[in-house]
Amino acid sequence: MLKYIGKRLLAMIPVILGVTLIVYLIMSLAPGDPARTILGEQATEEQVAQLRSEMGLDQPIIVQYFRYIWNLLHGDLGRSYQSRIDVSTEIFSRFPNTIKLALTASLFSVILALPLGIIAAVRQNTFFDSFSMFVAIIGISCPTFWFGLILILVFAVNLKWFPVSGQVDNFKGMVLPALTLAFNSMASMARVTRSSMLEVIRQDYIRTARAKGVSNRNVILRHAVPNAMIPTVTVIGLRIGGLLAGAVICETVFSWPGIGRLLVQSIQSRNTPVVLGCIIIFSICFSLVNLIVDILYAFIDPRIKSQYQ
Amino acid sequence: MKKLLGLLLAVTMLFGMASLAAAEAKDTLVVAAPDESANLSTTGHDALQTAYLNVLSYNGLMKLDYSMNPVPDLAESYEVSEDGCTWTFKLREGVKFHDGTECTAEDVVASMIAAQSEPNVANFTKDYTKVEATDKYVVTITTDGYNSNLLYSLANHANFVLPKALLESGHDFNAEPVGTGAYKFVKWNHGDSIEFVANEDYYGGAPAFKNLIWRFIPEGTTRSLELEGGGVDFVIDVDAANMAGIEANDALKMIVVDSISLQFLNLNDTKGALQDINVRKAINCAINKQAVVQIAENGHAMVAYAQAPIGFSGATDEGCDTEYNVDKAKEYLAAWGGDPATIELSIICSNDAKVRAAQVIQSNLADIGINAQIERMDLATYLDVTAAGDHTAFIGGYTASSMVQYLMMNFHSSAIGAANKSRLNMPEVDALIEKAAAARTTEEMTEILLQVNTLINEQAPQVSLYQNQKLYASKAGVENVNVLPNGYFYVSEWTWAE
Repeated sequence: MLKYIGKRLLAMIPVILGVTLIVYLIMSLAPGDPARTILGEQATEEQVAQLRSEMGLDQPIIVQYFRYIWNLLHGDLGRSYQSRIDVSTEIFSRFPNTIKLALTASLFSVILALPLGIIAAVRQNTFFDSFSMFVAIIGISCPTFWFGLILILVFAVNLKWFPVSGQVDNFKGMVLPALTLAFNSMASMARVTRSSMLEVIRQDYIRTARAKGVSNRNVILRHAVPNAMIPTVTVIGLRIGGLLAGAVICETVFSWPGIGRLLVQSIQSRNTPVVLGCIIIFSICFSLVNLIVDILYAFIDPRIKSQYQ
Repeated sequence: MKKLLGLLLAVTMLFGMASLAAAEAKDTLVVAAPDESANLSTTGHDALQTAYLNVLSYNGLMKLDYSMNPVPDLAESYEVSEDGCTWTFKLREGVKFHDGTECTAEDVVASMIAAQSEPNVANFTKDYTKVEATDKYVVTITTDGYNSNLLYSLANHANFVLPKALLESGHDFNAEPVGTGAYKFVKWNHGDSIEFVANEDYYGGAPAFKNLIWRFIPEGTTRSLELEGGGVDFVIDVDAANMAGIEANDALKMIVVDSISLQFLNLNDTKGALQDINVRKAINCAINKQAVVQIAENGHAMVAYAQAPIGFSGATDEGCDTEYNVDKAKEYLAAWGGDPATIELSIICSNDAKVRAAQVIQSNLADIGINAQIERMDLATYLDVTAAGDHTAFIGGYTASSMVQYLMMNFHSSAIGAANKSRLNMPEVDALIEKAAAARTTEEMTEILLQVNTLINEQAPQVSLYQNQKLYASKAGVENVNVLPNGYFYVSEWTWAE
């Protein structure tokens, strides 16, 4: 198992290099000049050209890229074109907020989705099943932007139970943004759990367990649920990765100082070092989450564990 | 029974005193702004959102009053030599920087010289050629002839005063501002807020609010909901769609300011048929500007016809067509003599309001046979394309602090490649703008500005659309809030009343 983990960690290096190359090329080929964006409309062409030269942007793209990689290997992510602050400082001042939000949202969605999906499958074709899947469809269809504003209006402005936005340092401030993010994830997780459970509870070994007189509760919790978890865990892993990178709208609505909003702002201003820094962090997180999911498979399903040994 | 009543009375009084203390304890003001500044320096930007923050922490020799006239700030008084080339500023004595050192003429000189090397603010530092400290509290500024624009430039954030010692030591003013302003920088929570504390030694008197939290809330509706929910006290750039809700709430108030920010359909006068004055005038007459205002700004703007913003002295509608008239537009096209379907007009837009305006324009121009296209670009691409002159048209805006500055940036040939994006190049216009800048009296300057504005109006280098209203909102208890037409405001003057 350790050998497998080591191999997977080493495999992340080419992944990250590949991602940086692709992003660097896209940012370089996109129209828009970082020097002009920094200097604004008052600057003359000569001043813009001078700044381009000072920033090394007049060099061939490949030279710029390898210089970036060389600095990266020395632990230097560069400086933001806009704020002139170290990219690592910019990113790591916000990254904990993103992690907090993504993990809390994941927790909320798992807590809501698993029971919903399991009960919907066990009570297939009942009112509860229809209701659960109705909630799931609402969750998938509901725009994050709209849902967030409704939560603010109801629970922050009218009931005053939670703050409207910001307040990253207390749990109350995290509830509404995390619920907003969780609602969409919860919906897809619940649907996958339900379909996976439906498939499992029709298997022969479940019928055998029932024939042997095992209680319905034990059949579901000890035999069906663990076997139905593989697709669910896969979806949970993907959703956590997605929440880390894709919380931009939620961060905007709740003015949450996370990394997603920083990334979008940096793309708009052609702030290549910050974009690359964010993408590298996302790549590492996504790879790590996938690795953790693969390791979890082994614990959930002994057949997979035996393949590692 | 008496004892019980006495106890109840005591408890009631205690609660009363507690709530009184709470009322008096309103010592923190929370402001919600839409955009986070990339940096907090005074010279590394030309953005209003950062200028708001500069005004909190710094002062210049001059500042603008609520009628947009420059008045002394750090300067106590000033005088101009007979030839108009030497300006002598006497500084206030005893003004302290936030680091405790005294602000002297040496600091003013060091700050202004440092600002001259910053391209972002080149427009505000080219009015002076030399700055000297002729005494501990006397600064002498040399200009290339009399330049009435100097005082406006000195009121701009570009020329705010920083401590010389910190400038020389390489202090990072982007990350930690140190000035003489009413609020001292405390902490920047990136992506979230900036915290300030009142400068008790502020030369204008300590501000009423001891603490100031400047929050960044990008979403307009969330900013308004925060105000309704009590999380913030003042909102910058209220979303027009939220105005009705705020106005209906007795605990809140709207502050609507007619701004001097002019929004226009820029035309590149060097491209194809747009070189012909008749084509430009036809486009101007064919656009229903009232509809543009309604669709793009929910009606919160003033229709504009003149090439320069109304509100400054010297502004005039003279020389331009001031009505939506499709027949007249067709007459102009007939005078041009070409086929309107061959006119290439691709309107670049960098935000949603501009796209909405462009959609109205596109529909209007179709009525006279011009097939305009709409191109959506992000800000970086838009800046790049328009600065290079590769565009045919775009929707843009410009805010200046004086008429001379507006004309200099938008219509003087020296600004081609920078903000003069219609690329108007008329020596007569250049000469008149320079003459206005050198005028010694307001009357003389106004007369020249009227001439040059009429001349530019007649050329119709671009199509003015509207002047925005700037929308702010606050809790009803925030008092003495005044906003300048350029958007500046002075938080140090605000007070709180329950």
